[in-house]
Amino acid sequence: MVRITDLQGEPDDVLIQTYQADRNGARGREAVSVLLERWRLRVYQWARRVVREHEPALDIAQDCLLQVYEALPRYEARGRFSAWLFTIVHNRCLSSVRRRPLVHDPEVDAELLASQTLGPDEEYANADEERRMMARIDEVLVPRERAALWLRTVEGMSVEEITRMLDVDGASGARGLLQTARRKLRASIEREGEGGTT
Amino acid sequence: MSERPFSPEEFVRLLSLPEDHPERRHAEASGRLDAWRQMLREFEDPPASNATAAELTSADAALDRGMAAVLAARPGARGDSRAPGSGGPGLLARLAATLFQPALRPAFALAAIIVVASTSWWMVTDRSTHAVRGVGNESRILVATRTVADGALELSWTPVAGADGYRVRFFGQSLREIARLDDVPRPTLKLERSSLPTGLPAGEEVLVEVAAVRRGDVIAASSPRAVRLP
Repeated sequence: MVRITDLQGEPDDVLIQTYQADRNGARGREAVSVLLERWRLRVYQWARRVVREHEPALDIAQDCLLQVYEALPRYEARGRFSAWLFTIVHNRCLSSVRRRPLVHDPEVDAELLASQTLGPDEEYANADEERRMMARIDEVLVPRERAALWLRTVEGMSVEEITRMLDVDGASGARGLLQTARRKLRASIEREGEGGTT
Repeated sequence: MSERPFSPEEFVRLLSLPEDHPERRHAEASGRLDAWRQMLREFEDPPASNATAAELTSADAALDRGMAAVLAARPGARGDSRAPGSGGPGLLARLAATLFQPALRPAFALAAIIVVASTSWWMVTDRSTHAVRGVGNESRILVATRTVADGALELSWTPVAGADGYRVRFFGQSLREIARLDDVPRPTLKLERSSLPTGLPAGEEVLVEVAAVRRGDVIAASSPRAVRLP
């Protein structure tokens, strides 16, 4: 039975504190119920958006809510609860999306995966390349271009989603932002190449 | 670009750092922090969902059942006696979670269909006694809708014995509550386009949830249901 109480309007951190202070009592139970009810559909919606299918999204949402519930006794409020929750959900979504090809792609076999393991030299070279690319991105792109590039290349967001997220104006939306970012990066790489050959 | 995702604690801590903090500045350099901040904004305040209203309704009901089962299992499976960080949830909590695994969902779906169908049949064939009999201690209210002659939408739901009245809440596509009626005396509500409660957008699809209330306590509630307003 859910009770209509003053807890309904309390901020997340108050609900968590109430739960932590009274985990075995009715008040604590009430608090955690209100908290999970408040966020559960948002958790599902995010998962649905990333994995794009209902059933897997529901699985992810249930896993995440259970994980959150189990972690709440040890949760330390050092910022926004929603940021903490979002990270759990998004990481779970990413691992699901990235795991999919390994599960379903018949072209990926164990031998191929083993041959893709990098040696120490290759790993060092990759890390060095990554550092240089990070420095380049920081140097030549403005924050919105960086964010757009990240959302597109790492998070796999659609151009339409990025346009909305970043409130990009103009007919081409985030497409123009991404084209500009890539053009700047190419130009920077070319400049460095020319500098290196002279 | 490093694709390493943030850990929950790391992301929360970075957000709380001053903008000129070197660690935050470093995280800003790749665009990752800004990208995550934007995603967080949409997580907190979702745009019109790419999920259908039926999917949202189904998800909400499933999550509600799942979490209720976990919470109900808690007294017997409490982690209080375990050392902090000693790991997984209690046996009953795991069992409860297992009950909602995909493999078992068809069975739940079938059971739900049978319950809905039989209750609907009962409501249609036995309405006269239904209001008197109510649904006793059952915690679920079933909501039915029909469009009446003047284009109005009539909501009706299973009456609950002992209820002082009913609370009807409406949620928009962003899942924020957009309107509520706290003291609906009877298990029926007629919504007319010309006199919709404040906050309800005519012609739009919204989620509606009905709760039976007794002395301030919710004693039974429906799952959210998608309806198109007149």
